[in-house]
Amino acid sequence: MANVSLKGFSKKFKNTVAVDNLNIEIEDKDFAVLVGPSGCGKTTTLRAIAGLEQASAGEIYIGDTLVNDVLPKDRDIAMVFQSYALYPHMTVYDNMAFGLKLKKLPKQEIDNRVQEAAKILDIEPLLQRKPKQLSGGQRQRVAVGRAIVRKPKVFLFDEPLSNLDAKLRVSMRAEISKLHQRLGATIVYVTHDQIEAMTMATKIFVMNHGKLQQSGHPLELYRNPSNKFVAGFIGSPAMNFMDGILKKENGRILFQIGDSKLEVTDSFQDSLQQYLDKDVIFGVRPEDFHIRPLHDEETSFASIKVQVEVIEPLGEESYVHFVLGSEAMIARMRSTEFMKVGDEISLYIDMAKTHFFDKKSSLTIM
Amino acid sequence: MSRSMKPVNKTIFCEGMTIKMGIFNTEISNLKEKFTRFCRNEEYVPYLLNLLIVLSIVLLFVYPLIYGVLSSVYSKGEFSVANYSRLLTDRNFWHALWVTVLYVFFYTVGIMFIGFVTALAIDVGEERKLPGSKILSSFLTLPYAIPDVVGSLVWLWMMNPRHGIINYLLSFLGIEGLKWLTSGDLALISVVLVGIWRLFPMHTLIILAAFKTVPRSLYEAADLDGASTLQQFFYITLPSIANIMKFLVLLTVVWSFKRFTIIWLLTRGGPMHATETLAIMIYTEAFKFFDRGYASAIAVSLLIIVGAVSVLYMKFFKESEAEGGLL
Ligand SMILES: Nc1ncnc2c1ncn2[C@@H]1O[C@H](COP(=O)(O)OP(=O)(O)O)[C@@H](O)[C@H]1O
Ligand SMILES: [Mg+2]
Repeated sequence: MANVSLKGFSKKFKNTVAVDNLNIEIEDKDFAVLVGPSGCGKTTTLRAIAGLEQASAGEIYIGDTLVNDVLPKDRDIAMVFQSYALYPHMTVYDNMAFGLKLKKLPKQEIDNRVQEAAKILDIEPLLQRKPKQLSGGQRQRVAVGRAIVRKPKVFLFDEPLSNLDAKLRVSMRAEISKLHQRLGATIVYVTHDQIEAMTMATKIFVMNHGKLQQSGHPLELYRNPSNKFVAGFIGSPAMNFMDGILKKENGRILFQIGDSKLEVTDSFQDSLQQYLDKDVIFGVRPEDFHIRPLHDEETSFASIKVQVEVIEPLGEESYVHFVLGSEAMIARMRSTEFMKVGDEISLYIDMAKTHFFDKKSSLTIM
Repeated sequence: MSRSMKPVNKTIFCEGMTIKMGIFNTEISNLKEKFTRFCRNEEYVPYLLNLLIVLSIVLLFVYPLIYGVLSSVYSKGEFSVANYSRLLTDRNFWHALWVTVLYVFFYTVGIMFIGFVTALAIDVGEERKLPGSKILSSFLTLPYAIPDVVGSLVWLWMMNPRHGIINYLLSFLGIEGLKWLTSGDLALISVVLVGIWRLFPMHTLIILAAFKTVPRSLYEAADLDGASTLQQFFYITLPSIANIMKFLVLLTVVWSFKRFTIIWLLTRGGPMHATETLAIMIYTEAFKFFDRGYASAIAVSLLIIVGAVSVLYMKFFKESEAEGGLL
């Protein structure tokens, strides 16, 4: 069993609190992704799991063993560094074999493992090269290879794709996912890129300012973000937010922003009672703006009139920029042939998929 | 420019003045335009900066070099290789060359060793945050801040056989009356030691800087791979700094071939030529015996020797780099 759990883990550096009371449960064979903006404490957390950083408080378990005082080499983990950290003076082969040699494995066994990893990663022709004779993508594979040959229970990845170009990143994403299935190991993967998190993770942990914001299956976080930060962080383009006031007219709760009044859908009517006449934040994902209301659910669509400012065609779909109230918004539309910049258009918001946040606490109003 | 001038000259003979002048005018205006562009875009700046460097190299290096070579092969206005043939049979020259080789060898080995050990101590000290490691490193650079003359004087006193502190301290160990600078066996060792003392902080700092160039993540990767501190030193640190070390050895060798001041101040090349390196010999020939031609011939030979050593070393350096061997 190679579950990983952090219980009340905190890490302080002199004056900065890098990670604050983090509780994380990663199941065996999970692909867990720690995601959050730069500086939120992801690397620190990963390094603590690896044993490269001592916890200031809290407990770290790998399997069922408390590893706080276990040396990195005895934790049965392998780590792929953001900089790859390949030994520059060793060949690719020796880079991968180094740890096994130190473990005094038989030569034949070492060779088998290195060849096998090279085959999986498609780097067999590179085995006699030095790292500086490799491209970024090839180095990245070698770094993964060095982790694979150790056959660890847990793989730790620190932003392994951030040094690659966009195209390579997409293909490596798929390859690492495949690798995960093939190896059947637990993976803890750190990234600031929410797309990587969404596409690869079986479980996402969103962090901000050293604190865990929310954890769960990618789609769960997407559909039910527990606060404004997660709502804005997961999804691309990001969720649109607008400040406004909740009003009651004819017994129905309306969200008022500027001149527009949007009728809140039935499911929200009860929970929003206590926020009447108060400021709240309203959130709509770009794909929940529509050109026309869908027929069967007509009641839950609210219409707004906006002026098109920019149209960004991406091929299959386009991003339409406009201003509502004083906020810049983006809508994601299928067909935009009929509109041009400056046009006044009507958009229909799918109110069932919208979100409301408490302005003070930023928490989602359920 | 010369290429574009040619057709102009031709027109003078074939076509007559008017056409020629016309072309010449466009030539001039072309040049003018080029020149204004040259000035406007500040394209002259790199030339100007390089001019200064080239000038200073010519003045400080090329001129003395040529002057030295010339004065070694001209005597009384005639070309002559007499100085060089004299050199080949001069036992003093061969002796001085041998002393120089010994000096260079022991000096280089010694200063590299001491520089390495001190750098390692400071590095480990800073790494483990031992108290005083910062102070130690600034303390270490002290000899480097003291002028040659002052340093040599201090060592002269300390190495005085009768009143010097070194012999005084050694007397507690039962060692008596060592003649540090006046015995033929000890004098060379002494000048090597003082030479090392004078300049080792430089080596310490360079090697310390080399240690710091090794990325932390390499040690962390090695930690995860299960390498002990000693294994990390041999498999990560040494190979990573090998190139800098090789280069430092080359510089040290080249520098130490020409070392003069400390030896001169301590022993003047004595006793009985025991510490007479080529640099000392050049000085005595030139300023004691006023044989500038002969001194120049020795200097030119020294230059050739140093050049040859550097070339051989660089070649070896390249080869071992291609193999990627340890050190
Ligand atoms: N060795 C360190 N010394 C001091 N502060 C550090 C150190 N490592 C990280 N920090 C601080 O801790 C916070 C979290 O850093 P990190 O875990 O690297 O963030 P992330 O990987 O999410 O970008 C940052 O504010 C960073 O400046
Ligand atoms: Mg990081």
